[in-house]
Formats: sequence, C-alpha cells, structure tokens
Amino acid sequence: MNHSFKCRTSFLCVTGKNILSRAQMNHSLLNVGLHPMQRCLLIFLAVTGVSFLSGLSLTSASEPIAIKVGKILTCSDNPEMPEFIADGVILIRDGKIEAIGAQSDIAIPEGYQVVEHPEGFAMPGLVDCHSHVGGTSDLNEMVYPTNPELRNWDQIVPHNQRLKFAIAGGITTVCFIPGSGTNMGGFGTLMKTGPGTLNEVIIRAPGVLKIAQAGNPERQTGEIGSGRMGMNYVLRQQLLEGQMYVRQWDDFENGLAPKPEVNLRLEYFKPLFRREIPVAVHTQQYQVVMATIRMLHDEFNLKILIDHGTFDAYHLGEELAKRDIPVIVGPRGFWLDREVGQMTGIVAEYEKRGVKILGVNTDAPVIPQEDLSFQATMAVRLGWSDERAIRGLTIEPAKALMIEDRVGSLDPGKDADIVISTGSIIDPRNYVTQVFINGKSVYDIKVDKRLF
Amino acid sequence: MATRIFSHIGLAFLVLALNATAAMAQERERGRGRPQPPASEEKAEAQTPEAKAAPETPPKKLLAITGGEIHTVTGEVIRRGTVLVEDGKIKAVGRDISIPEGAEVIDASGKVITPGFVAINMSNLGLRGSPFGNNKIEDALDPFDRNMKFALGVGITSGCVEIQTQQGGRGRRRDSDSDPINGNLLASNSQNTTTSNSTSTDATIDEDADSANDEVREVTITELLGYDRREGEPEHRFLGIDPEFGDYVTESQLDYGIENTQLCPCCGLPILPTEPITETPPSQEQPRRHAAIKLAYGNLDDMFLKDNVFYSPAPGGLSGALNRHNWRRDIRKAREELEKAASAANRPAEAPSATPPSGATGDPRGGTRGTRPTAGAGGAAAASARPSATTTQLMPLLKKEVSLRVTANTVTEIRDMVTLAEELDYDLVVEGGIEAWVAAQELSRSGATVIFTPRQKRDPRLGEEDTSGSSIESTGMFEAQGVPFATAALSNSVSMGGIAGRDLTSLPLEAAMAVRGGASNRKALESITIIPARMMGLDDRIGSIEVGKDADLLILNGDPLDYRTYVEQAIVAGKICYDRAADQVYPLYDRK
Repeated sequence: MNHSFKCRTSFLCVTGKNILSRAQMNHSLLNVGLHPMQRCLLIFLAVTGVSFLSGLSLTSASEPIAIKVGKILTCSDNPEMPEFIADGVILIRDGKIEAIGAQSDIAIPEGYQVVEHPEGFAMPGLVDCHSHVGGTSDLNEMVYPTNPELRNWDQIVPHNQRLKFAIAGGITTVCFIPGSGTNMGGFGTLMKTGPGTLNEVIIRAPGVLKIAQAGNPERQTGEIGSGRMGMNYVLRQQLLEGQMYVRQWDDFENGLAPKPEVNLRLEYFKPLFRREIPVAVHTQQYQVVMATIRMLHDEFNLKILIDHGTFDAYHLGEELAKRDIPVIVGPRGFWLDREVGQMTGIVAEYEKRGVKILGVNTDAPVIPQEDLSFQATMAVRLGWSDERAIRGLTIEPAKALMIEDRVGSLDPGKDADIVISTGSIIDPRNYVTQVFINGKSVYDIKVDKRLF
Repeated sequence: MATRIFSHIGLAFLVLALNATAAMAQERERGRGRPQPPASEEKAEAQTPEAKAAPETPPKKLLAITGGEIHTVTGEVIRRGTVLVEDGKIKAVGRDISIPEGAEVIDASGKVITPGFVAINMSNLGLRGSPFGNNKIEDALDPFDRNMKFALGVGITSGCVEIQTQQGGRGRRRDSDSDPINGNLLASNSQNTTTSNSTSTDATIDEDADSANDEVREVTITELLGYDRREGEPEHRFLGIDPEFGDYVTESQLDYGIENTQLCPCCGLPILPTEPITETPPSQEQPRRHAAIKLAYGNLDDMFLKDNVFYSPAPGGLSGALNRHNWRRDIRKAREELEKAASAANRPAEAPSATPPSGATGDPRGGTRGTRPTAGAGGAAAASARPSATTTQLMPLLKKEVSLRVTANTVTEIRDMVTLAEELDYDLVVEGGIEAWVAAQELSRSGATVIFTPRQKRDPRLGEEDTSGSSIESTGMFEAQGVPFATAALSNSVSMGGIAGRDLTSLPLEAAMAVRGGASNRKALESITIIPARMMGLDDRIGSIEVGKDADLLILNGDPLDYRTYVEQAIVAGKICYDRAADQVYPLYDRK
C-alpha cells in the first residue's frame, strides 16, 4: 500500500489495517526530503505513537457523511461491486469510503450528515497523469541534460486558483510533474487538488520520474543531445548510473556489501528501480515510443507510463498491450495522416489494439486542467467507448500511477474522493455540482460560485 | 450599399428580384439580430406564381429528404417530416408533403435534420490566401479548400470571414511611414509623408486625408480634455500614445485591463507594459472587414454570400476620449448626409445633385472599403456634394442595414459600447462579451446581441470577484435576460495539429457548452444557426429551415448538440457537398 518506499526494515507490512491507514495519513508528513532510514525511524515512532494514543486521531475527524445519489458509477474492478448502482448511497467516515450500495441495501447509521442528490451522478474523483499547475511554473532546470536530483514538491501551492477550477471539473488527483525541457526533468508529485497543508495534499512524493524523449529536450548548444541518438544515450547512461547506485544499496541492505555513500543526486532512483514508482514518459511518435519500450521497459525493467503517445505511435498498440504498459493520451487527441487525409482518434486506436490501462491527460495548462473530462469527450467522439472513457478518467490513470489502492474507484477503504454531477461527465452539457476530497466537501455549487 | 446587397440576392432569385427585394426591405426594417416571426411564407407565395410564369426555364432540380426529425430552429420540431428542395431553395417543409415525380429522394429515417450551422467567426477557410485591402472577395474564394470538408463534417455550411484590411498585427502600432494616409493624423509632419505605399489611388481618399489634417488642427487635445501639458511631460503625450486613451495598448491589455496584465512570478507585482513609447504617434487602424461565405465545396457559384456584413471598427477604435470624439463627429456627419439624401429624395427635381453618386454605393466593395474611416472626414467634404469615404462607409450602419460589431470584454467596455450605440442609434453586436453576464440587463434593454465563447475564461479582478471575470453561467443568464447570443468556437480556423475539440470544428460542442452554462438546447442551437444569420442580416437566406430559404441542410446521426453526433451529409444550396462515408475525413466506426 505504501508506495513511496518500502523500507526493508519497516514492519508496516505486519501491522493491522486500521493502524496502517493512520500510518498512511502520517506518512505524507514523513516522506518529504528525508533519508529513508530517518523516515523508517519516524514511521516507527509514529506507529508506536498511534498505538499508544489509540482513539486519539492525529487529524481532526470530520463528521461522517452519507451521500444519496440517483446513480453511482463505481469504476470498480472488484467483481462483487456493480458497475452502476441506481439510487445509491455512499457512507464516508474518517476521509475514507466506509460502505457503498443501493439505498435499499444500506441503512444510514445515526449521526451521519446526509447529502442528497436525487438526480445526480456520483463517480470517483478524476485523476490526471500529466499536470503542471499544481504549483509554480518553474518547471525546467535547463542546465544539465538529466536531472534526477530535482524534485518538484517544494513548488506546490495547494488548492491554487487553477486547482480550484480543476475541482470544478471533477479532478481530485493530479500528477504534478516537471517540464520536458531536459531528458530527465526530475521527480514529480502525486497530489490532491483540494485544500490543506503541503503534507495533507501530497499522496506520494516522489510520485513519478519525468523522462522526456525527443522534441522538447533537444539541445541546441552544440553538446550531445541535439538528436534522438544522443538523447537516448544520455538517458541510458544516467539510468545505468542510477541502477548501479540502487544495486549497491540493495546489496548493503541484504548484508552483501559495505554501506555505500549517500548520493543525493541518485537517491530517488531507489523507489524507481525497486518498481515502486513509475516513469512518466514524455514520448510520442512511432520511433520514439518504440525507444521508450526498448530502453525503459525492456532494458532497465522500469515501471513506465506512456504520457503522450500521440501522432502515429498508436501503431505500437500491440507492443504496449503485450507488456501491459499504460498509455495516457494527450493533450493531442487525433492524428491526421496527410496522405490519406483522414482523422484518426488516437485513444480509440489504442483501444482497438488491446491496450488495457488507457486514459487521457491535459498537460495542463496546455489544456485547462478542468477540461480533462472534455479530453475524454473528444476521444469518445473520435471512436472510444463511453464506458471505457469513464474508467479512463479514474481507475486507469490511478493504476498507471500505481495509486489504485487509494483513488480511482468507489470501493470501501479508498479515499472518499467523490464527484457529483448532473449526468455523465463525458457529455459537456453536464457539470459538476459537488466534490468531496478525503471525505470533505470542497466544492458545492449551492454554496460556492460555480466555476465550470 | 443597399442596391449592392439587393443585386446579389437578386441574382440568386433570378427573375424575382424586384418582388423579393421589396419584401426583404420590409423585413429588414423590423430589426436586425432580434427574434422575428417566420416571414418567409408570404415570400414563397409571391414567388410561386412568377416561377410558373417562366416556361423557358430548364426542368427544376428537386431533392426530397424524407423521414427525419426536422429541427427547423425558428419553428417546431417536425418528426418524420420531409424537406423538399427546388433549385437550391427550400420549397416545402412538413409532415405530409407529396414528393413530385423525378425528385431525388434521400431517406433520412432515424436521422436528425437541421439547418446548416453558421459560424460567426471563421478564418483560413474557403479562401486561397487572404483577400487584402479592397480586393474582391470573390477572387479569393477557393471551392476546393479541403479544410471545408472538416467544417462541413461538423455541420458548418456558412460563416463570417474576416478580411485582412491591412498588414501588421491587430491592435499594434505600425510605423506611420508605411501608411501615409492613416499615419500621422495628428502630427504636424503628416504633410511631409509620401503616398508611395498607398493601397488606393482614389482621389477621394487624398481629399479625406487633407481634410482630416485640417480638422485635427482645429481641435486641440487640450481643448478637448481640458488638460494642460504639465511640466516635464513630453509634448506627444496627447498624440494617442497615452495609455489612458487606449491607443498603444495591445489588444490583450485592453481586454484584460492593466491590472490584470502579467504578474511577476516571484513578487506577484504587475509587470508594466514594456512597449517603448516612441516619438511617432500611432496610426489610425482601419476598420475590420467581414464577409459571409458558404462552404459550398466544389461550387464556386454558391460560395459568396455577402460582403461587409458588419461595420467593425479597429480594435480599440472606439476607446478613449479622442476616438470617441472622432466617432461621434463621423456619425453626425454621416447622419446629416443621410438626412440630406432623404430630403433630396423627397424633392425629385433636386435629386441628382444631392444623392451620393452611384459609384460610391452601388459598386460592390468598390473603392469605399479599401479606405479607412478617416478621423477627420467631413470638414470640407460635408460642404461638398460628394460625401466622404467615411460617411459612405457609415451609411449602412445608420440605415441599420448592418450592425456595429465591436470587441468588448470588460463590463466597462460593454457598457460604454451600449451607451454609445443608444446615443448614436445603431445596432450593436458585442464580440467577446466575457463580462457581459454582469451587464445582461443593459444589453437586453438596448437590443444588443453578443458573440460569445462559453469556454473563454478570465479571472476576476481583485476585489471585484462577484462582478468581473468570466462566468460559465453566462449563457444561462443571457437566455434568462433575453440577450440573443451567437456561439463562437475557441478558435476560428480548422486546426489539424492534433488537439481535439478546440478549433472551429468544435462549434457544436461549444454550443453544448452553452447548454452547460444554463442555456436551453433550443437557444444553443439557435446560437449557431439563426442568431448569427440575423447578426449578418442574412436571416432571409440561412439559419433555419423555412420555405424560401437556401437549402443549407444537415443530415445528422443524432442530436445536434450531442458530442457523438456526426454529419452524415451536408447540403449547401441544394447540393450535397459532404458525405461522411464517401469523404472519409472523420473516423468511421460503429457506435456500440
């Protein structure tokens, strides 16, 4: 469950579930900029602290809520959870979904605040895999071709103006990543769009590594990296260095080698090469995506997600499907083959070729953050299916980011990130009326100015 | 101007020109851009007997579209109805229409029929290159522009294109040397400029320029504003470069207001405009020129609709005290001229000397449009028998044959434009209208219409959060207050770069966004059909399915505002100009 790192000496894996969820609340406090050993120590203290102070919540417990809605789209992979629930109810307690089902099946316990949307649709909060509006816009350090030492969670401005619009569009989770100015832009953050302190809004940091191939990171200053051959070499060399570093630490932790020196520049490669976080790859066009598959997936055995996959790259759909690589398409949505003169819907083409974990992104502010659902609208217009599109806005990107245990579907135990809209969010005529993040109402058009 | 419009329509109506123009002139009198009762039935009746009386005409080309759900826009929805088209015009609409022998029949059972959509903003479409200055738009039409297929594929069959009237970016100062007529209007060195780069050799223009200079010298800015030059201030302070007068401010700064221009990412302080203030005064911008064309792919003859569908001042051309002063003066002179002509018409004996020469008004896009409204037009011209170019240009506006189309986004700009329009009595079309929701009542009262893009966003100004910035609910407020609006897409041209749903081909989806904002499906459909047609004074030809109108029709595979809907066939002027299966420009797939 805990993706930011899995410390070998941690006993999180044997602790009970409710303790773990408390630890998880704290973990965001702990995982920012600390050495893993320090973090382990802190987690130890926190967990023991919780067990001593059991019953006292470290975060203020909010009132439990029961949401009654006309229709629930669960986006759940759980075979026992139906895809749709008519006249449903969702119980929320301690920021998590407690129970979900038909109103006829679930009795609302005493003391729950009841929120009613008899005509409304409820769905999980939307997840955007590619966003640059989580904080300030200093996204690129343009000095080195690769920057594994950089991290962007110090740039975050929680609940900023763009994120308020994002919430009004139903987006509750974004992957806030560095830009594509260099081949390796740094480590990005998975964060909630709602209000709170930095620690409260971070889901995981480091969230992803941003790698950019071709196009934007081409270097014009005469050094290596002005073309794809050079850029690919630069990337492989850097990854090899990281791989070696992590191997040294693995050997040390397994008692096979002496303790290596800490190298801040390579430290975040640990969760990456331990396959606990993915690489979000800025990659598009056939050859470039092929290089992504061969270098990052086949050669370095990394978890990756294709984070543009546009132009003619959909021809690699089978290759990607074979390896179960997630594809998050955007901000471009179609490809025009100039020789044929016909428009091709990129997402639909990937679907046709069997890519399972398939979604859309905005690359906000390239496309406004709140228009994520509209990206899906257009993908459906160009041939995708409505049902897959709803999942492609929620559970599929959550899987691509490896946070599907926290967000992306309405299942008991997951974060209570719930979007209420006037109808299917894929239809641009419908709009969001209320949004809950971590079980708290953060946008309600009955109270707040309607933003989108 | 009037005769010119009529002559074009007359061509289309063949031998029926006289009757038709009379009917249309009446119709035009009823007001532009406002809801009107369907008025075409009487015309159709008038048309039938004469059509029968012409036995030598070749056999009529008949087309019947049967079985579809017909959204007429101005009338009710007709289920399983028939539209009968004869020679490019709609001959009959209804449920029980007998299909004449020899008619081509399209079975549209299960389909939806709507009028072709009208894009109030189009660019780079149907034109080869850009018609420039006073060139004829007909010469630039390209009936085989493939991008038209993409526009037709979403239902756009006609629209308004902006014709570039000058080089250089909009809202920017140009080097005055490059434009001897427009530049240096106020500066004393204007007499030294040459006419080497003049786009026109019309003698009237030179007269205008001279009279302009005469006029300007009489009206000093100090007199005008009661503001003396302060110690240390440059002499050129008044020459249009003071930001207060909006003359050198870029369009975006005008739109956003100085306080909303760029902010420093570090300290949050506004970055002041860095455009250097030079000694050269700004040139007067030419008015924008708009023409209506049809996307009649492959049929050049059907493409041209009407030129000069608006009077559109240059961006910022009506802002600032000096511009307003000049505008009022120009309008006053034009109105005097108009009244003189009217009184002359009442006294037939004197008519020839007082009526504007036919060359100025009768020639389609003749010398007049290539010129600009000279700030100082009038003066000597008012005394002479021949009205100035500016006056000639303003005549259709004052006669309410065209509307004033002006970009206004902040509530202050919008209110200013409404006040001016009411004071000077012309029809107003507000383009942009980001904050129009704040002034919806005033707009409604004045009868103005709005060209609006629901997804256009602007943050509110600090401290004015409730009365500034964009509102997604604008369209709902427009409908509630009775402000007719035309929906414009986020971008005016067809873009094949790969970003989906943000270019001209997203027009129906932008209308869906109007529904998101609270407008009804019906108003949203009107906003891309009859409302833009009315704005351009073309509601006698396009924008709805009514007898006598042009047969610009869509056969859709679903609700017109549904995001999954595609055009199966687009019919322009009675001819099938787009067929989804045959043209294959959009993806073809089976919807589950």
